[in-house]
Amino acid sequence: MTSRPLPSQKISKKALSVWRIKGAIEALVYLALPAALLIFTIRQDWPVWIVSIVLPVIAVFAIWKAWFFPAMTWKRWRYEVYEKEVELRRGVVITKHTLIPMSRIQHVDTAQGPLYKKYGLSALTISTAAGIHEIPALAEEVGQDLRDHISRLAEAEDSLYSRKEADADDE
Amino acid sequence: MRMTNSWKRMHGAAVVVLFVSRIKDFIFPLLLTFFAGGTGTLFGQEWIFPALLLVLFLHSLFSWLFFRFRLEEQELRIKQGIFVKKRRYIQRKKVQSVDISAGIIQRTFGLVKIKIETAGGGMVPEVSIIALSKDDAEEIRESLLYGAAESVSLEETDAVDEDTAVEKTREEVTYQKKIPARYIFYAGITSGKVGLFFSAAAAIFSQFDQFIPESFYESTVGYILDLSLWFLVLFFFLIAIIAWVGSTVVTMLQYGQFEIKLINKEMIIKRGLLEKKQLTLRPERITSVRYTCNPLQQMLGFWRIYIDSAGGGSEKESFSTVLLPLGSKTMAEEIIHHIRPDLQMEPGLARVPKRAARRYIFRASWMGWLLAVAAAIWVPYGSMLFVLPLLLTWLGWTQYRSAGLAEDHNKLVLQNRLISKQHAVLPKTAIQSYTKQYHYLQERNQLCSITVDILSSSGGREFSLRDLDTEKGKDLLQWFSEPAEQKEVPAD
Repeated sequence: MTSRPLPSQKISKKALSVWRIKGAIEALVYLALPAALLIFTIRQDWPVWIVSIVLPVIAVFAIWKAWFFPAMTWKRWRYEVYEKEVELRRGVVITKHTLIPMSRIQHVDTAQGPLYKKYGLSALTISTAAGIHEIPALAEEVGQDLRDHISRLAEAEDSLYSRKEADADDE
Repeated sequence: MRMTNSWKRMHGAAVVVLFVSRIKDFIFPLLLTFFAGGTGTLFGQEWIFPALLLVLFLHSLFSWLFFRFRLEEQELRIKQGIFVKKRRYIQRKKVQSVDISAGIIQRTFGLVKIKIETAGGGMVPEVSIIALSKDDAEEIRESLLYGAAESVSLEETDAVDEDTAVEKTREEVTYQKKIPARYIFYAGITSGKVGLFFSAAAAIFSQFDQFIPESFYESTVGYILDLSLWFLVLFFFLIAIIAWVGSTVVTMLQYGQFEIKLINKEMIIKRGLLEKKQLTLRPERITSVRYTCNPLQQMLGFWRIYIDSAGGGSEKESFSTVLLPLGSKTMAEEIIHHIRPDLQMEPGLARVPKRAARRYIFRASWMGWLLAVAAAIWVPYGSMLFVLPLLLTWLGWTQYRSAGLAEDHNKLVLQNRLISKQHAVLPKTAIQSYTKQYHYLQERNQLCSITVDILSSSGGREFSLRDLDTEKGKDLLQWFSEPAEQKEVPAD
């Protein structure tokens, strides 16, 4: 068995900034819970211990989610585009390693939300007949080039495949 | 018998079919206005209900009036729409499957409904003509599946010979299998639907008190409570029996007269006692064959076969098609031998490693243990509940024993168990992507889980196997990376 090299390409470092902004917004939502508890503690004389347990737990979680989690996600993300396949490897708690053959790829898109646009990023989505795979946060030019590259390779692979099929039909 | 190449309307009975389905869609507003109209307190307008009915009827009528179809050489054209005009051209080469069925209304008028599924493209993947004559439906089916080329050459032959020519070139039955009624019966009495029916029946009965007059309730309920234990036991026993019989009857009605036919490399599945269903699909479009059996069926040596395909299948079967409602292993093997000999059940599976066993057991039983411990502490006689985690532990163990896989150049076989055992055979070319995943605890034990997805008519379907050897997971990545061997064209 030949040992395969792991995917090596990293996604854009700017992803960190975007994910941290998103994380911070999410964290604010989580913090609404202890905030509400605090109000109840002051106004309604709720026991202090509830808020003093919930607040630190949520705060730690929020900081982790907004600061450390994006960093770890970014650090773990790798992809590689070969002639015959695309490989993705990512995940902090659960490491996922996915392989998509070119012949299965139906289309490739890049997408940009307002935040991504501001940071000059785009996300690449790879669609197969059964589902969609995403490479998040690529620099705009990288994303566009990659999209065109993959779609050319997929097309070449596709015409090869349909030629084979036609041959089989002729037999 | 050939359809003229002109725009055609559906049979007038389509109005009835449309009307009934509109009523189904609007059942809540209708009920609301009916009762509100009756008492005259909520809205005070008694005309809303009939007006709503009239609107629905007119909508059905006009939908029928504006719905036209026309069969061309290479495509089926449909135009429809009352206000917004829509045209749809269904190209022959895009057709995935053609499904002919007949509901109660269609059967009353001697008609059928035809459903055509096409390869995606973002649009609604299917189109239905809900009421047309059997001949028209057959012609559309033949034309869309076998192609205009054949029918053109047929048109050139002498008109007298046409019918026989049709028989000769088109009805070349290469395989035919009828599933005996007793197997459908076994499928009913061993089905897991018993549980479903049980809860449904219980839910209905629990609502019953609302319809019983209060006085009756007050006078009898005390008496009932005295007999509560016996009463409850008998009551649930009764429900269980009703449910069991009910699900068996439903299975018989759904899958009765089950028949598989292979005609000119097209597979036709016919089934149903009251409502006849017919599904046509191409064996080479099959993307998975799933052999399943629940513990009871396993003991009796019975298997059920589901297939996924790119196109075909109905919602009730979670977008899969039943190929064999229930049958012996020999029957299963025989059918697959004729349909897709390359997708037989795999006898030599590699089991997941021993060290995976405790992960399987833990996953199945931890909740049960937690519940039992809590019950033992806080509930009198709660320790009786320890039966639950023990059962779940055993379940986890059998799940581990069932888990296994096999692969060769052209297919991947994954076997696992929730309660029923599932033995899935996936052609390599149908697999769209492969994912290997693990977390810290798995990594420490050199274990990983894998997921592959295939195309089914709903879009995608995932198949997973948990806790196999990390090296095996890597090998499979490499296996998937290598292209499938050129498929041999199966000899006729």
